[in-house]
Amino acid sequence: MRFLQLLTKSVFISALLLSQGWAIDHRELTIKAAYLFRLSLFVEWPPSKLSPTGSEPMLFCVAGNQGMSEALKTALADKSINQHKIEVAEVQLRNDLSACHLLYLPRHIQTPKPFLQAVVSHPVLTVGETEAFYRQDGMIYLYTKENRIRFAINEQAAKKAGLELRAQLLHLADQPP
Amino acid sequence: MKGKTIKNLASCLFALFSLHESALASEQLSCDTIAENDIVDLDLSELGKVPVFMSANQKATCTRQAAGIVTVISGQEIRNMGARDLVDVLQLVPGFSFGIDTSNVVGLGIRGIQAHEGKVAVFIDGINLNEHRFGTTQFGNHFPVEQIDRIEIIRGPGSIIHGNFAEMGVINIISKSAAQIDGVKVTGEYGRFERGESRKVTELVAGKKWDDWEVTLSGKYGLAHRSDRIYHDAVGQSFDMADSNELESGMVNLGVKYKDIDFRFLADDYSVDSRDGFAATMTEQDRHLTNRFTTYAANLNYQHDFTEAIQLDLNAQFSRQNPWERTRKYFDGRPSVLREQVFVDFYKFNAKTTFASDEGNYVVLGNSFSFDKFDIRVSEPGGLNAPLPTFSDYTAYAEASYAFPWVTMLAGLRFDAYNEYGTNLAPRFALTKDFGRFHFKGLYSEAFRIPTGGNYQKNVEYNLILPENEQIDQVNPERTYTAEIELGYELLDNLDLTINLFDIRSKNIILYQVDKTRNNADYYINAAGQNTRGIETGLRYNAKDWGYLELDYSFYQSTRNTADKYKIITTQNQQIHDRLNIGFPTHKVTLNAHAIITPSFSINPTLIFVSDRYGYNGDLLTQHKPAWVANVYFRYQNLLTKGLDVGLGIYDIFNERFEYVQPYNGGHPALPGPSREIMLKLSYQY
Repeated sequence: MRFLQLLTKSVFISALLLSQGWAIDHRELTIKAAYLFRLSLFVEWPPSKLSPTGSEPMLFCVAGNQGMSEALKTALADKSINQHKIEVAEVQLRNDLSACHLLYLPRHIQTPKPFLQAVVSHPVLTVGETEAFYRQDGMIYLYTKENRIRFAINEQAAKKAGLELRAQLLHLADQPP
Repeated sequence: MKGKTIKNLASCLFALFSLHESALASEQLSCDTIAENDIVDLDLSELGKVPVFMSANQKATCTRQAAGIVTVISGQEIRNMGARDLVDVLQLVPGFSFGIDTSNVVGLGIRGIQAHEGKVAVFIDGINLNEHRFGTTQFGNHFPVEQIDRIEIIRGPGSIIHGNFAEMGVINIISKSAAQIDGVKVTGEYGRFERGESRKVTELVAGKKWDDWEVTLSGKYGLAHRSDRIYHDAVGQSFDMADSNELESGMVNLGVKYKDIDFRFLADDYSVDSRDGFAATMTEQDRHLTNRFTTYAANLNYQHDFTEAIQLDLNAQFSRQNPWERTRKYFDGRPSVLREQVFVDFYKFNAKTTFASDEGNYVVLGNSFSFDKFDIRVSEPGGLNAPLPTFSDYTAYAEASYAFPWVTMLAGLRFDAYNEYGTNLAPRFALTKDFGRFHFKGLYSEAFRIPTGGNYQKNVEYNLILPENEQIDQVNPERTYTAEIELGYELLDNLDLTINLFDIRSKNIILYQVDKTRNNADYYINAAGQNTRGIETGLRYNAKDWGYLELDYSFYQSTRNTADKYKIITTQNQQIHDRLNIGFPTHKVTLNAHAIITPSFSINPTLIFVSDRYGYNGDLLTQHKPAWVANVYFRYQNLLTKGLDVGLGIYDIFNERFEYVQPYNGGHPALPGPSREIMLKLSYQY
C-alpha cells in the first residue's frame, strides 16, 4: 500500500513537473531538499516566531511552483526540527509570506525582489538559487560548482531579519562564485 | 649502532605523531552511488560532495563497491606528500615494487611478479603510455604531478576493459579539469643530493572554461639524476652516478572539450642516459648510452547521454611512438651513433555503451578494433631489416552488475581475435556487498598478455643466427588467473580497515632470455608458470580538519616458479628460497601521515619499510638488507600572497640509500637509487 502511494505520488509529481514545461532532475531536487532541512538546523528563529519549547509546525514555503513543492513534501516527509514538524507549501506573491519560516526561491524565480521585499522585516530565512537573489540581500545562496551544490551566506541579511546563524554554518559556507 | 638508534627514535616519533594526528581517507573521487533515499540524511559537509548529475559510467563505478581491488590517490595527497615523481607515489601502494630493468630503466613489479614488460597498463587521461614495442613503462622523473586530479589504481587484473598490458594492474592518471584549474599554475623544483644536483623541474598547468568550451594545457620539463652514488658492475668497474645516468623528460598534455566532444593530445619525450650497461658489465669507459622514448598521441572521444541511464562512448586513438631508440654517445666528442630506431603507429577505434540504474546496476557493451604498425628504421648489426607484420586485434566485451538484496554480482567477458595470435577469452566474476560498516568483495579474473612486436622482432632476429633445425617459435600469449578477496570494516566513523587476499597463477609466461654462447643474442620463450599468493592490509584514519593517516602492509610468497630467471639460486645451482622471487621483498610497510598545523601550514611524513631482497651481481647471488626510507615534506600555502605555495622536502632522512634490484636474473647489479635529498618547491597559481 505504501509502495502504491509512493508510486502514485511519483507519477503525479512527474506529471506536474513535466506540465510546468521544466525538466527537473529528481536527484538535484533531493539534494536541495536535504540542504533546506540541514541549513535550518543551524538557524535560530526568535521565540515569537518559533517557540523553543512548542511543537507548532515549521512552514517551508516554495515560491511559484506546485510541482517542486510537492517534490519537496515527499523528500521532507516525516522530517522535523526540534519537534517542529516541517510542512511544505507552494506560495505566490499574493500569499502572506510572513507566515513562512523559510522561503525558498528556486532558479526559475528570475526576479526575486518582490518576494524578498514581502518578508524584509520578518524573521523568514530566505534561500535562493540566482545571483540576483544573493545581490538583493537574499540570505542563503545555493549554487552549482563542479557538479556539486554549494552554499554562500549573507550573514548581515539574516541578522537584520532577527535570525541567528550558528558558527558551524558560517564555517561550512563557501564564498559565492 | 648510532644509526639504528636514530632510526628507532624517528620511528617512535612517527608513531606518536600518528596518535596525535588524524588521517583523511582518500575521498571517493571517482563515484558516488548514494541512493536518493539516503541523501536527505547526509550532513552539510557531506552534501557538498554529492554529485548532482551522475553519468551512467559514474553510477557503474565506486571504489568501495567496484569489482576490483582499487586504490585512489588524490592530487591533493600527492602534493601534500611532496612527491617528486610517480615513484614516490606508487611506492606507497601495497604490493608495488620498483626494480632496474636494464640501462638505468626502472620498472614496476606487482605482488612479487615482474610487471614492467607489458603487464601493468598506464594511462594518462585515457591515453595509454605503455610503449608498444615491449609494453614497458619507465619511471623516475617521468610523469608530471602538478596537473593530477587523482590516480585510480586497479591492483589486480584489468584486461576485461583495458585489454593487453593490464594483466597485473592498471594505473589511470586523471588530470584536473578546466573548471578545477581555472587559471594558471607554475611550479619549479630544485633538489640536491649529498653529492650534487638531484633535479631541476618546471611544470605549468593552465585551464579555463567558457560556457561549453573547456581547455586545459599542462607541460613539464625536468632534468634529474637517478642517484649520486658510485655504481659497481660485476667485474669491478665503476662510475660516479652524480655525473651521469641522467633522466630528461618533457611532456605536453592538451585537452579541449566542447559539450560531449573531448579531444586530447599528449606528447611525451623521455630520455634515459646510462653507463650501467645492459647486464653485468657497464659500458666501455669512453661512452654512454641514451635510450629515448617518445610518444605523440591523440584521443578523440564523444560521449552522449541518451538519458541518465544510457551513455554511449565513441573513441578514436592514434599514437606514434619511438621507444628504446638507442644512441651511443662518446665523452671525447666523437659523433653519436644511432644503434636502433623503431617507430610504432597504433590506431584504435572503440565504441562502448553503458546502461546504468540509480542503484548502480549496469551493463556495459563494447567493441574495438586496433592495430600496431612497426617500422624498423635502424637496427643493430645483424638485426632485422625486413618489415614486421601489422598486429591487429578485434575485441568485443561485456560486463554486467546487478545488486540482489543479499549480494551484488558482476560477470564480464572479453573476446579478442588477434591476426597473429588467434582468439582469446577472458572472463571475470565478482561478488560484492556493502553492509554499512562492513564490506566484502570476492573476485575471480582471467587476464592475458599478448606478445608485442618487439617480442616478435627479437625471435625473428635470433632465428637469423640459428641453424634451421634449432629455430624457435614465436611466443604464445601469457595467461593469468587471479582470485582476490577484500574485507573492509569501519572501526570508527573516521577509521577504515581493509584486508585483501590474493592468489595469482600465470601460465605460459613470456620470458626474456639471453644466449651467452651466441654473443648475448636475446629472444623470448614461454615458461610454464609463476604463481604468488599474499595479503595486503590498509588502515585509513581521517580527521578532516586535522589531517589523515594511512598505514599499509603487504606480504607475498611465491607458490610456483618454473622460470630459473625469477628464482633465488646460488652459483652452486641451489635454490635457497623457494617462497621468494628475485628482487621482491616479502614484507612491505608504508605510512603516510598528513598533519594540518595551521590552515596554511602542513607537515607530511612518509615511511617505507621493505624487508630483505635478493638480486644478482653477474652470476653471484646478493642479499640486500631491509630498508627504511623516511621522507618529510613541509608545505606552506598562500605565503605572503594568495596562490604562492612553498614546499621543502627532505627525502631518505636516514640515508638508507635504497637500491633498485633487478627482479630477474639478468646479471645486472642493483642500481643505486637516490641518497638523502633536499628539495625546494615553489608554485604560484593565478
